[in-house]
Amino acid sequence: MRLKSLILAAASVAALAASPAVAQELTAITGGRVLTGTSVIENGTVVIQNGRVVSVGTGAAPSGARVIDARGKVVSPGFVAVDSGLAGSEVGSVTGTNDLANGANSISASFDVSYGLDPWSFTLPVARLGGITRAIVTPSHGGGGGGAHAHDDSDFAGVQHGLQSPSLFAGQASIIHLASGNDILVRARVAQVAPFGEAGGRVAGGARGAEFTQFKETLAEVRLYARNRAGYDRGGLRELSLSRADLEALIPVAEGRMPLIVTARRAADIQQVLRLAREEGIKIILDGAEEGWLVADQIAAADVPVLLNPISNLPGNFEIRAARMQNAAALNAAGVTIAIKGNEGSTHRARETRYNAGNAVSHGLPYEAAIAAITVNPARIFGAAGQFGELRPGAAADVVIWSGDPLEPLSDAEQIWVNGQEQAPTSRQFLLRDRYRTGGEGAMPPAYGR
Amino acid sequence: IWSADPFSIYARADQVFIDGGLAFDRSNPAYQPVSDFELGQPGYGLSAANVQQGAR
Repeated sequence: MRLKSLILAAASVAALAASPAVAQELTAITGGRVLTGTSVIENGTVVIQNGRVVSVGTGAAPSGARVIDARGKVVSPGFVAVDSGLAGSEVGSVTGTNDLANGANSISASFDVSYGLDPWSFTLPVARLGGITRAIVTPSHGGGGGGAHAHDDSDFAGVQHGLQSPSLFAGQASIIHLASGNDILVRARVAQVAPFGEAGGRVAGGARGAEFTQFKETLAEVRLYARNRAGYDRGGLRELSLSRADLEALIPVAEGRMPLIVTARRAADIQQVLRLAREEGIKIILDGAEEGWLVADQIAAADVPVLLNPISNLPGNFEIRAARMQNAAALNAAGVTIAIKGNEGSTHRARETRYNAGNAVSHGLPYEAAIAAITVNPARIFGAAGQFGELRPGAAADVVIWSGDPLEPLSDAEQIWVNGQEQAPTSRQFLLRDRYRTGGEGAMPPAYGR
Repeated sequence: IWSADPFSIYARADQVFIDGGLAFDRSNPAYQPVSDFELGQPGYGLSAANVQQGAR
């Protein structure tokens, strides 16, 4: 009993420290230019309470509400970072702090990033100040396989005899929110990840074609396992090339219930993964797709969404010789659902997602499509339509008041709510800046006085 | 010559003069540099979102 009340007391202290304003408060944000994610409302009123959006429209603030004057400002839903490493990696080059990639081939598809996420990560406040309030935290391949936030670590730690070595899969992504506090996980295991193209070919032994063969063989094994679990447990099934945990994790992918994020950049590779998805009946999300504009109609016809970085425009390797700044605009015009990524794995630079959206606009993407690409589209792509990334009744109250157009670098996020909790407008970087700029403690060596 | 406030994310360099000479013109292919690397490569000569390769 005493322990329980101590825990409760500690929890309420933590909650107070974490939430500058209580989530239950009825709050009305009035007079701003409201970007709902799907439309624009001039002089709009956004009402939030109990962590959710109550109403969005042009009416007066309800009586008793805390009224926030947003005249001359822009009000948007919090943005959603896709293909992100937020809370999963503190310092990328310090491997002990990087929990996005796993090298063991017995835990590949079954690797679940949600267990390694840190609500106290200093990556979160920085992203939040860039208007990011949700993220799809996506594992990267453990063995130089590229994929999400590719890196060149080719050291496989736990290679076990008899299993695919290395595995084709990077693991399962999670949805998080960016409210300060001690629980950021929204949903674990929302998508599986596999690199294709050069990186995927390297995993399979060197050639692209080998990966497709291996992939099909793997899905056949997963289906065999799913039909014969009892036999497998008795040891009555032929030897399979994946661990039991990985076979289990791939069942929803093989059945088309869990999307597979496939990194493919070259137009030819995109065509082949579309073919693979068609032949195997799996649901895919394209990641990268620099040359996507060359096959935009095929991507649209397959109803496959794309996660892309619109400023990836240089022919840095033979997979992206056709990279163009107009990729986002061309895919959108063809009817493809796109989500715009941040830079460098969208961890420390997740906050730049809005700049990337702005750059896509300057190269032909309609403004409303760019807003959708960082709000409603990622929510839809990851099965959370209407739950966040949109100002509409019932959605999570993730709201940002901007000093101006949020896609302009000179605009600031002035007030930020996540799940209805107003967030402190600061970060470790701001604290460091202020310590030295204002001559506070530690600004000068002791000999120089205070 | 910028299309908008150069600090704006939407601003594009419409024309660039170097030492008084026109070095780039976004609307005139005669003043858009070409690259040997891109010649005949995937996407060569094609418009993306109605924008010609050299005007990107």
